[in-house]
Amino acid sequence: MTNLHTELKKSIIEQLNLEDMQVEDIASDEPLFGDGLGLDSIDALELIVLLEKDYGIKLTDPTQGREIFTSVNRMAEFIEENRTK
Amino acid sequence: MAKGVAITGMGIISALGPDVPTHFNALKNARHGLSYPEILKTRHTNLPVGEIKHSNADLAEKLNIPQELVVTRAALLAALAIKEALNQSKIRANGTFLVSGTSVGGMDATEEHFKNFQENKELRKYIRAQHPGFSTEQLAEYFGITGGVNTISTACSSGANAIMLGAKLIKSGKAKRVIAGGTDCLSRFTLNGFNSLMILDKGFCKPFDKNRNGLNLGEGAAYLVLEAEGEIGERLVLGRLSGYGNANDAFHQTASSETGEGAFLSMQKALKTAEISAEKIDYINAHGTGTLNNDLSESAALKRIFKSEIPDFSSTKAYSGHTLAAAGALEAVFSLLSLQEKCVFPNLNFKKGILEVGLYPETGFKKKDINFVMSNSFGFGGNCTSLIFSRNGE
Amino acid sequence: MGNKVFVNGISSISVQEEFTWGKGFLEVSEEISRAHKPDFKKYIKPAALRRMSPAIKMGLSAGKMALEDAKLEMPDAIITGTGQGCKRDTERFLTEMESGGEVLLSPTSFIQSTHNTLAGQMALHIKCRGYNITYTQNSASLELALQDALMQLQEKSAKNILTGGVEEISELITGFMAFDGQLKKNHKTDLLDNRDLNTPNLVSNQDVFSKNYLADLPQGRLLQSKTPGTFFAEGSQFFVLSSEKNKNNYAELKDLTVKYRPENMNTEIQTFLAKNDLELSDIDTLILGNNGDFRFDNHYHTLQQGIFKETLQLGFKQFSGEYDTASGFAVWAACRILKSGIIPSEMKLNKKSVSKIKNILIYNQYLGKNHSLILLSGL
Repeated sequence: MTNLHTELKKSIIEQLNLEDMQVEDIASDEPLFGDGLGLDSIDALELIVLLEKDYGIKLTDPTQGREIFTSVNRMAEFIEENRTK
Repeated sequence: MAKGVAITGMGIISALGPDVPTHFNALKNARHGLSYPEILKTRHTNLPVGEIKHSNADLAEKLNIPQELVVTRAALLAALAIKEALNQSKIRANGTFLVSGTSVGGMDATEEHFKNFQENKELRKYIRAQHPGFSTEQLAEYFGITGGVNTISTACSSGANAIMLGAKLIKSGKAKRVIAGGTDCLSRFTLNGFNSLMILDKGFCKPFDKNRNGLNLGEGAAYLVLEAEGEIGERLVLGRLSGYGNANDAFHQTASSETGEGAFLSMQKALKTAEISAEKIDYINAHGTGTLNNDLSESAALKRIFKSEIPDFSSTKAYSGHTLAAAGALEAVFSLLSLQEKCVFPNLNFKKGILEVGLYPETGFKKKDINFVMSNSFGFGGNCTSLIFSRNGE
Repeated sequence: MGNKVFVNGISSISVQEEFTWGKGFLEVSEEISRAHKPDFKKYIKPAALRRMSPAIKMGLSAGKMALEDAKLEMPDAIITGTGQGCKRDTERFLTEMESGGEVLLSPTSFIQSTHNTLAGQMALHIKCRGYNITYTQNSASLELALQDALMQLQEKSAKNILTGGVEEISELITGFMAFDGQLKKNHKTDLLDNRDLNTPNLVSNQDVFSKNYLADLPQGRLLQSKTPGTFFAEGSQFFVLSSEKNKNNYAELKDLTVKYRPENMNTEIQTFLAKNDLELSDIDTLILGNNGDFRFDNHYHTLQQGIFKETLQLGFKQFSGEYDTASGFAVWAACRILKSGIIPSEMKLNKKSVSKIKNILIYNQYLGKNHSLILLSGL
């Protein structure tokens, strides 16, 4: 697990108010939505805010998130490719 | 068929104009009222809105309200609409009920002043103004209303629910005359809120279009005067509220279900209270906000209610913008105009239908016999309300 | 007048602990008091809880407690009242918007800032697709919710309705009330007469929350206060109203009225009672909304020394604190009194006694604007 993975898990827990969760509780390949972490469409919007705030990546179409927020692995990959900060 | 509650007055203000005739002309001539924020001080000057280009001071002057009185923009807009409705119906305010729907309330004043409440004593009069009931109380005092004062806040279906409650109060005998409707002004709070949900179209909204990309916010107010049979005498009845239904989608905090369950139930209930079958509906003023989700869900619900025989329908959101709590009330006025003028209003900015539903709104101004109009209003929290208006004597 | 309407289930989340019924209420002792909260996880899944403000947690839990109490799974309608709504989320969004210059705003607090958030969440949680509405007429919000429920049950358009109210306290918006005379300021000096206790002016809620000024004061002092403003609190009371009574039934909700700035409350009360075929003497217990704001408590004093001079008078806001739907606490207490026959002695505002409690009238107003009357009867 890279630093980015850990950092991302920390910010996900914070941004989404996952009070009872620790970084270790989120597996990098675990689905974030549906059966995995159980996030929903409101969380997806929060994650879009997170991408822009922390990594300077601006998504204009909320449906783009569906493909990016599949897992922490996929998010990290996307951030590495597109980050501006 | 239910006789319905008589409507003897209506008043309206929005970006389309200050009264009922200007609204009819705009709708008839497919002329929208959208622009960019000028009165509202926001950084989002690139987002189209249905803004009324009058400052609060201008509006207060029209109403002869002294500057030092604390009056929210929502109340100013409502007062202008109610004045028009009262002029038409000529009822006395004394003993009349006021039921008002609002979601923004006095948030415009709060966002402007809250940082300075501590230092500036002058501004503290706005502290209570934030809460929705305050604007309704101001209206009651301005018009001398003594019957009952009531505020409903069910997000974007508030105005429709206020009109429904007005009818219920009359039917139950609790009230003889009710002024009912809704008001909401633009605020940075709501503009930024909808923006954070990523459902604002940066262009003009395109309800029911395949390429729709969100809604435009608007501001406005509209009110109806509803009266019990014994009160009407020789006065003109503009139309009747013959059906209403309120249901909850119970699906998601903001999104509507794919099957449009809540919308289906509210339309079904409205038909039931009106005691008519679905084929009787001649025109539907749809909620049709222009978001991907609403228009798809509403279309699914329309198909479930009307099967293959979908009546003429259109959304008027592209004219006024989505005026939130006022929307149901504005569209109640449009529904009454449709009955009176025997016409269907064009849905603006529609080019291609949504493939998976195959529904096509009316895009031209169309004259035809109209006896029953359905108006839909849906809101956050799964709130769905449908109203049915009918011709007097129908 | 149609069908009879019964209260089949009740619940209360307030500054008081639920189990203290009959064991003594504690008087609110701070300008702003938080509610004593139940274990929310008993009622709401953790995944859902994480986003919720206290208003939603309290309201959803109270709603579910009332359903449980009535042994009802699915009501026909959900009708809520809240004067000030979801203040926490509102001010979170507001402050983020101000400090961030209208960019990068988190949508969750906006979504949850609407006044109908609770009613919507309640529908979502129990999958209730029936009638759903929220009233927001300041201090009459709960009464108007009850009135709608009453109307539907009397007309038989519904059998069981879940109805209730909620208010939460929040740092900013509740704190603002210290600036416009709604919240008592410096009450330590106000209430302790001439003792100079050198308390600073309240400038932020940090102060408000950390001080327990009145902890050692004798009971009953708030209502005797001679200063403007009152003590604020939060809470949620819910009721299952039904057209048929169940075994658990508490009382009959006979009637209710709300008047905006009535000219003469004596006349309003007499008209209201006459409509229900009752005379003044039929009211054996009167519950009043005195809140220690000397500017407006005269509305109650007039009745206390006038037409209801000989009637047992109870107060409740010294125990619930003031909030827009605080009358829910009075309805809840009335239901408990009617069912148990026990009147907590600390609620009494005069020395009258009642042999058999039959008709309870609740009168409440706030800042002299919305005045409400609620009539409940034992069975």
